[in-house]
Amino acid sequence: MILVLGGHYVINGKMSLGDFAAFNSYLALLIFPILIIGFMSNVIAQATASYGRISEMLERPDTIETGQLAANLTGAIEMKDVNVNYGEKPVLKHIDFSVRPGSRTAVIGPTAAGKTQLLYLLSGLIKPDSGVLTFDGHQIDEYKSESFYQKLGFVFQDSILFNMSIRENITFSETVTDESLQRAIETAELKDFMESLPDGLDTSVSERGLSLSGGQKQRIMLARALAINPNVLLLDDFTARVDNQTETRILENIQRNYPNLTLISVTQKIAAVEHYEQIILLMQGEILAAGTHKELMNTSPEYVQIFNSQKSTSNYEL
Amino acid sequence: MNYNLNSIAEQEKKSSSWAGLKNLLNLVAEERKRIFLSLSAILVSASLNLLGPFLIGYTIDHYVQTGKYHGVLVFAGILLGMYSIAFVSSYLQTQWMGGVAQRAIFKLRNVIFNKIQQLPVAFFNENKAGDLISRVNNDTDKLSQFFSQALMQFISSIITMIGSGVFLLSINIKLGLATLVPALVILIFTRSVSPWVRKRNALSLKSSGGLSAEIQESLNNFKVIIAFNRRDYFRKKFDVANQHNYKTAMGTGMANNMFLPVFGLFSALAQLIVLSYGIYLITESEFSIGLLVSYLAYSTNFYNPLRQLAALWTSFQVALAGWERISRMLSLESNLDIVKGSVAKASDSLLEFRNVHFGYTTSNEILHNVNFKLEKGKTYALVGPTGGGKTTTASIMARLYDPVSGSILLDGKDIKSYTSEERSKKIGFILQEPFLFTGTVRENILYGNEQYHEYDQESFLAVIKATGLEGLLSVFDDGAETKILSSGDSLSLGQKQLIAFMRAVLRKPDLLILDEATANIDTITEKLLGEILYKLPQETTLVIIAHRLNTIENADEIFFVNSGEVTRAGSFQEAMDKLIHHKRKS
Ligand SMILES: Nc1ncnc2c1ncn2[C@@H]1O[C@H](COP(=O)(O)OP(=O)(O)OP(=O)(O)O)[C@@H](O)[C@H]1O
Ligand SMILES: Nc1ncnc2c1ncn2[C@@H]1O[C@H](COP(=O)(O)OP(=O)(O)OP(=O)(O)O)[C@@H](O)[C@H]1O
Ligand SMILES: [Mg+2]
Ligand SMILES: [Mg+2]
Repeated sequence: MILVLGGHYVINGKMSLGDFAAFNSYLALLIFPILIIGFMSNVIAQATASYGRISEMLERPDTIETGQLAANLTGAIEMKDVNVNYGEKPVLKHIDFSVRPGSRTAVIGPTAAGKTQLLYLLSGLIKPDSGVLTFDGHQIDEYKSESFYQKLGFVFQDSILFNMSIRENITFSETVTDESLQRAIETAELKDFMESLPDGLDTSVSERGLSLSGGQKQRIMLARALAINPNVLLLDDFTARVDNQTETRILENIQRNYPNLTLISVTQKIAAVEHYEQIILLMQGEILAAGTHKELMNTSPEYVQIFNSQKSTSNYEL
Repeated sequence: MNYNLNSIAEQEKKSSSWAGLKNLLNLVAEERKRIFLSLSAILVSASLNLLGPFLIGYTIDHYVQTGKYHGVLVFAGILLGMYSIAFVSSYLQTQWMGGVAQRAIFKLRNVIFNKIQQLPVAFFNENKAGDLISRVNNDTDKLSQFFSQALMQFISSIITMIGSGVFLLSINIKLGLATLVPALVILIFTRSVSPWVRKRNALSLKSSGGLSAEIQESLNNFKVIIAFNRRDYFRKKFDVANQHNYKTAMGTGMANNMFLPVFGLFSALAQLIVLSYGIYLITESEFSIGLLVSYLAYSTNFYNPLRQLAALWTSFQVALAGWERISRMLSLESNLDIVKGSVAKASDSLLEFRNVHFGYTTSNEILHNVNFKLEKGKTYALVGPTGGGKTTTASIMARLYDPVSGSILLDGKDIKSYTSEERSKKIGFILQEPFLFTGTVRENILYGNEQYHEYDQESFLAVIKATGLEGLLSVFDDGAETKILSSGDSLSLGQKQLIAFMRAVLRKPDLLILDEATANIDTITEKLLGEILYKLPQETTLVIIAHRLNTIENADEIFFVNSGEVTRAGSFQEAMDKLIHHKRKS
């Protein structure tokens, strides 16, 4: 282009050869930034995307402490038409149920049914997209979060231990007294184990808790939740990693040492929860059935199917 | 043996950029054909671009100055054609290299995954999960960027530079030499500061690894922190790591940005030289105006790529720093020596424990004099109270640890005589906490699988069908193509366990150890898993550790593990009696 036009002008005498040379150099100067712009636009596109994500997070209002109520949870819990979505995908759909103070409720359901998400809701870790969840008639954010979490214990499904001593891992919340620490350790059947360790409670735990056996980690998690003396206890598949005998003993200990506790327990083993006041069957984010073991055996074919898949050895269960 | 990746770094000596580049290129060695194609495409586009100025100069001298407008048009046409070809070939090149980069990174992650499987547990004790994940995801990403965007530009810049240099010198050697002097200065400058820049980048990557470890610890554990109201504690910890990261990143940024202005200064200088010296030569009539125009173009052609190189050089240094971090991990050798010369004795047992004693520390023995044999093709169950030593026994089977005394025979040969590759081919051990990569379910299942790792969607589904794993994919929203976000946070625990299960089954090991690998999976799906295991080749030996009794009722034999003693239970009933009457010690 330049050559054609420029050549034309020079030949016609409208432009000197010097101008032409200068023009050529300017053009070369122009091209480099254009190349860089091409290169940069790539970088800029990536940066904008990242910036979008970051600012989305930053602009989210800081969870403002709106709650004023001091929580003294009795364990009266109610969910009304609660829905939770991750993007397009519904994870919990139209959840309705209530829990009486001091009662025991089991949640049963297949892999990826939404059981863990349900407990996250109950502990305020995630918020319902629609519907209401109340404790004693009040929503979670009406409570002072500090006092709410002092009354709610949560044992997570995966063992989450920090790079600190066992004592610090258990007395994780700052309000734990020595007495409640001792009671928690006894209830979680950890006493003998602690005594067998050379440094006892002050033994330190590596990041992923690798120097402990699976069941030991799980029991430390339980002790952590019990140490705050909760009124409501959420267990997520707690029984998966301890042997049956220890499990039975622990559940007895809980009944004895924490008599007024309201218990909500996610589990895969029906045998251990047959006598609970309420069993909720959750599948693909929906409550399929709820009631006592007897009721469910009569009304829910899915429940019967799960029960049968465990029956063959149930005569050995303890 | 020191497994701490970050402290190993300090002991390492610096390697030169070239040696680093060679190592990097080894990564893509298998893609030679594509790279060759890309390279020729680059050659084409670079040389066409190089010819341009020459033709322009020629046109000016022969047609413009003599007023032959027709010739000008012809040459303009030729130029247009040349530039279009150059454009097409450089486009193709970008496409090809993008593919090459993708595959190279997939391969690299594969290798890393295998390595992680082979390293002893001590490795995980000494390195934070977050740092590992940063190495695997972040650092490999840096490499991929280098391959897909920078590498070929790098080469093309170099070719253009060399070409221009040749033209510069051949048109007029005196002027050429004068023009190239600033380049020499730049070269010396770059060589002398590069090692320092790379070190800064390595530091920066290290501290972002540290930050990622901190975030990983916090995010993963965020729920605990909130549910127990301890935000303060982690805010403090995070602030420290973040401050550190900020400081090193600032330093690195300054180092990285130093190249561009310096290069710019010198290329401007070079143009100045061309212009003044060139005009002087013209007045001496040693040089024509057309040539000067070409000359100016060539000197920009020479110095622009150089400036681009400055930008690319940074990306290259970042990639190298990332690569060093990865290769350090890959070069870790297990501290478990390979002992040569054990002779296989004919034996029907796949694995045998002989008088095995073991303790994690010398003062505290966990396993006391353990003896047993596992026969080919049978299914064994280990049961016992928590803390009894089941996981420990299984870890020794897979030689994650060596016994303090006693020996373990695999196929009649001392297990110490196998290399880690041979061993991990024979023995599959599903770790209790599955290690997932960001990617799809399919990729996560295929990582570390030598036989299938290059399979695409269709052939993958065929294999899945053949092994009966099909039904398990239905718990994922989009089946095998379901995206896994932030290393698995978007999956339920049972889903993660299913991925680990499929991964292990597709590896087809001789001995498959499942240590509570299905503990969180519902009992109906678990039955399905049982059927899949049943379909494994006849010779596969299974060791199943579980607390759920359904899981183990089909075992051929049951071992009862308590207080570090392993005893054989005569029957299922006997095992149950033992379970009921045992005394737990821990
Ligand atoms: N952060 C997230 N983003 C998107 N989807 C998610 C996220 N967390 C969970 N899910 C999806 O929500 C569904 C329910 O998960 P949840 O963890 O509640 O299952 P679960 O019933 O506890 O299963 P399991 O028995 O395996 O623990 C799953 O399909 C899961 O993939
Ligand atoms: N890395 C380690 N360092 C030191 N001690 C360890 C380590 N791993 C396990 N232990 C100890 O060894 C003993 C046996 O642990 P192991 O993990 O083998 O038990 P397990 O039978 O698998 O129990 P669980 O059913 O709870 O998983 C426990 O007392 C445990 O604390
Ligand atoms: Mg769950
Ligand atoms: Mg274990």
